[in-house]
Amino acid sequence: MWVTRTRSDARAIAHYTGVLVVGIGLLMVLPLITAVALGEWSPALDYLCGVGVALGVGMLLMQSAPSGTPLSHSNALLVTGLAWFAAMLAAAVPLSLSGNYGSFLDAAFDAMSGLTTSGLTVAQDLDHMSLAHNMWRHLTHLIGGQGIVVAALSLSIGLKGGAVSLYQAEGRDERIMPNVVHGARFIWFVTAVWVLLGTFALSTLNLVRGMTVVRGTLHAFFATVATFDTGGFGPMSQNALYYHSPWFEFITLILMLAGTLNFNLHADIWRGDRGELLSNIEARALAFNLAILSVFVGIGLTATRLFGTPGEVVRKGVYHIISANSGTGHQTIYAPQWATDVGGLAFAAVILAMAFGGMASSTAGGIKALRIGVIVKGVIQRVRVSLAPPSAVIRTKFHHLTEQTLTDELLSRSLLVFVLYVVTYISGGLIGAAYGYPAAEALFESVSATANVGLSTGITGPGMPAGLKIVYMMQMWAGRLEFIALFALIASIAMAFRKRQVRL
Amino acid sequence: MRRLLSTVLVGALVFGHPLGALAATQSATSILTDRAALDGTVVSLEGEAIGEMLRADPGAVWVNVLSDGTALGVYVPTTDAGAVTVFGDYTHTGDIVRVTGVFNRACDQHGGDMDIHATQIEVVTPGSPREREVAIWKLGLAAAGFALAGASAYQSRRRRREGV
Repeated sequence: MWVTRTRSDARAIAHYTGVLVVGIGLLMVLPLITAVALGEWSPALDYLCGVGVALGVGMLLMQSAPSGTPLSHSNALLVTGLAWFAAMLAAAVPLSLSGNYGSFLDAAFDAMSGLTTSGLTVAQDLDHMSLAHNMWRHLTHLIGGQGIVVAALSLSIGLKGGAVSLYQAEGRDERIMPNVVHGARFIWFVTAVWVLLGTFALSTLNLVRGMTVVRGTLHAFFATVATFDTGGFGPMSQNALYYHSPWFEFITLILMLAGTLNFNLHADIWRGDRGELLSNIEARALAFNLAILSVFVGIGLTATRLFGTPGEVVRKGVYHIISANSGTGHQTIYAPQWATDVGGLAFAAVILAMAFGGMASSTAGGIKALRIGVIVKGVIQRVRVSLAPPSAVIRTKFHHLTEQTLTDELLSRSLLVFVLYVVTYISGGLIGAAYGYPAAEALFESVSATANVGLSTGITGPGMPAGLKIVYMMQMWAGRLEFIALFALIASIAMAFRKRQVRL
Repeated sequence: MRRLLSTVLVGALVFGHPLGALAATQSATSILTDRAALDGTVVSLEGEAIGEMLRADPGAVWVNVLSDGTALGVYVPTTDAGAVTVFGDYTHTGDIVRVTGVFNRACDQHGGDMDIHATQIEVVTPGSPREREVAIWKLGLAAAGFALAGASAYQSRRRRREGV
């Protein structure tokens, strides 16, 4: 049965969407302060506009219903889907005024890419972009990585009536703490610790290498946020290659691994239970993925004979497999090199790493290691059942935070999301190919967008067709919300139109 | 004899100023496009120095050079790099430099990174501060947004007071 939204449902949805847009507006104060502190007056005005427009539109939407209006789980799904779209529009306002984007669509593309922690960019003249605008681009990773709802919950801005439903609808079906507000604050606590450690390590490196205190610290903060939140933006067009530093790569490698870790595992480690990391099915699946794909990429890169020493193969191979598997998207090779210089087995291994993704309840995207682990367990169970006597009862257990039994429902849920990701990967690839791009590169880009990775073969850029920009934006949005919230939104809009047509 | 001649010629191309300067100036994008053919050869790149000079090893620094939308890393002896003083960022257009050096598609010395090992770097056009115009009309947009927010807040407070 399809539930039709009532007028009061629509008002509640508009109210909570408004709350989240106001939250985005308040966060724009940070780049505004950056701009004023650095004397970047034109960007300061851009953020004054951004704050004004977000507060104005957000508060207007909030008028739709009184604060504390209860929000059902299905309405929360719609708010989540809509909030990411509204947040993208709000976040794009200052970017579109920056002069670094060819159109509002381009600014919206970067905003969606930032919020979904994808890291694909269509910015122009990035090397001359202001530090304030770079601050905002990287903050979108931080906001989106933790979750827009989590951000609003942590700030306790008027989500009283729908906190639990919204928290779960944002793809966080596992509770880290019994109270969702405490859970949201724990997520920020973990993030703050890693961001402080990463910023300290990278800014020390930057200062030693001759960067000024301001640029060195800001670049360190940008790189840390983009890496821990598995985003992939960089303040320079060369991305990680700008720094020409094995130390930079090592520190960001650690941050990528930390970013792809389930926040529940962070909580366990924080509580002193390190055994969970070794016994967890998700951690094991991710470790196996990383190991096997690193071997493949190593064999592939060796076969191309591009790199002269095994050390180079390991450095390039491992960095890009972890960057792809964690969904970060930092790269130390140029985009056109993927299809030609890397080629073959290594290229395929990187696509697979992007497609699999990191852990659930982390900032990573993709199918997720937990689902891959559950599906593999399901396959093994089916084989065991087929080989066992008919009277035998076969049960498969696995460990994920607690001892769990593999059920048909769990397996079918994992398979559903797996199929949705694969269909989207292939569909995006076919659309890219239809636009005239080589099929393999189009598939690479499509997987990168859907799994919120950000590695690029060079298709993504200011000059790519507007239609393809919209397709990739939809893929990033759908991938971040793991489809269901977006499908619910599309279905509700379709239902509303259908109802209207019947009335006419 | 032929080997000796070719060694002398390559040596002259790499280290010799006059012959090295003969390599036709290219953009970073064209070098990237022709990377397979240019690997290990002497190239001449002209573009804007961006960001900052980054210390590499003792006696060498990295200068990133942007041209035609692509930036390439140039490994320069510290003694030669002093000529570059202005680097491109939000408030500056960097020095336009001409770099002559050996192009590496995957440099063995630098972990497989694509780079140029400069034998010569000169400033062609000095960098300068960038003027950034402040568009006053944006104040109007900001004011409209804050006015809408203010009106909504007023309406909300009025409703609460009236108990609606």
